[in-house]
Amino acid sequence: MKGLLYKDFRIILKDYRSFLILAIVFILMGVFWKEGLYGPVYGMFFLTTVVSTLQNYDEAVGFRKYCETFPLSRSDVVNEKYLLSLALTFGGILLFAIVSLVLGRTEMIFETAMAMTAIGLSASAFSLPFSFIFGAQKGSLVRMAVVFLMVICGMVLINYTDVILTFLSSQAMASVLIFVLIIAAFEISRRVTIRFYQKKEL
Amino acid sequence: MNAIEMKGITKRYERFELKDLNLSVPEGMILGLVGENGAGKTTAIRILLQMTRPDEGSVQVMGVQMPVKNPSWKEDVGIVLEEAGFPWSFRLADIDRMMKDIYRSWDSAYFFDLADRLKVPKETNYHQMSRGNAMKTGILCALSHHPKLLVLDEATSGLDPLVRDDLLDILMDFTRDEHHSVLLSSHIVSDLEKACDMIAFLHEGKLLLQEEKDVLREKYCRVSVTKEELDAIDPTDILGSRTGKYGTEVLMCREKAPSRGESLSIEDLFIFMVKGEHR
Repeated sequence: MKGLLYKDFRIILKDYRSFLILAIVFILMGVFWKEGLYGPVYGMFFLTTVVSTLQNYDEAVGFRKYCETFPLSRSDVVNEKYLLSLALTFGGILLFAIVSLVLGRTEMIFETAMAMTAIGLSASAFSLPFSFIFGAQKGSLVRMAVVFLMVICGMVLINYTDVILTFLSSQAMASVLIFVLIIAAFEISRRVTIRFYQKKEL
Repeated sequence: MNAIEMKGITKRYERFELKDLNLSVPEGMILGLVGENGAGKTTAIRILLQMTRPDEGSVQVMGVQMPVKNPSWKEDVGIVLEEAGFPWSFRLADIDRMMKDIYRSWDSAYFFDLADRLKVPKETNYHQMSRGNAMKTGILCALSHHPKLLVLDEATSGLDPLVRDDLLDILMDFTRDEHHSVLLSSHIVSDLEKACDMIAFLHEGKLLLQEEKDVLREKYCRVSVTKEELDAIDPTDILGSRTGKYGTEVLMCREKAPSRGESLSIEDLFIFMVKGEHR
């Protein structure tokens, strides 16, 4: 699995650097301009798009089939993409947290980190099963629908940023519950993907 | 021991069926799997690699009964598909770095040494490599973890004669070790004729024969016969026949032939068996 992670990070740095730069710019915007959730959330969208794009890339260049020749199980292949998704999500959060702490803008750090985790993990939890099970083309149609829905949700939620932030900060239990639900969805998504992908004929 | 043992393999698709395939690659041998495009060669290899499940039959690779959950048996198998599928922007150094973390026994020194011998450019992105160099890269990767079994699916197709010759040399080198075996599938019969110890003919999903190359040459012959001679031959002895302007040619076992008969190349034998009329 380590080799697959190396491959994906290498491709990100070589071919998808622009996604990474945009994600960093949006995340930093959230810290510098005090735009609330807008910057970090859009930054996370870019990061999760990288995972989906890498999925399509693997299929387009024939790496998915070539992987079958390696001493790796299909669950290793699936786990690697989920691990990558976790790494990018927490990388984004870490960047946001470090810059926020350095600049002393710590007032909404926990809530924003929660929102970033929610976006990062839920986007992968929704999109990865479809692209693994149905392939890049059908999977990307579903992903487009999911992203569209999330953008609409995001646009609606931006109008209620204050309300959400107040709710999250005042109701610690609620935010913990949301966090737990997202982690559970991520884990269920991973298990479902492994189960179906193991049966898929390549 | 057989490096590969496929018994009674059947796989049904909507428009194609691989029927009751019994194929074995003895240890230390190069088996050439010959068949036209769509004969079922790739399906057989996909079943071997567990990329697809057979409807019936059993597969054993290097003594491991399939299906098996633990993929570690692939440590001993080098596989070359028609398209290797490396990331386009990767150079040899990137591929080496990735493979190091995939195979326990990956040998970087051997990888680069082989790359030098085969003149694979080190600074070129995989996407910019010629088809020959891309295929050579796939072969480097299949060999650089020191496998005991090599499986090559249409590895020679689309390559120029020089590269094909290089590839065949590599195979000969590989099988100098008596424990090393190769399954090489191709529709370019002349390549297989050069490199293989055994030949198997696959046609429309059915295995027509599997035999040692020298035995094949010895065993079968082409005989030109008149109509009267043809009528006198037991139809079950005729493996294929072709009637042309100048008479009829039949393919049959040398021992049953009415006259001395003419030896055939493997390519001719395959064409005769596939295209000739069967009685």
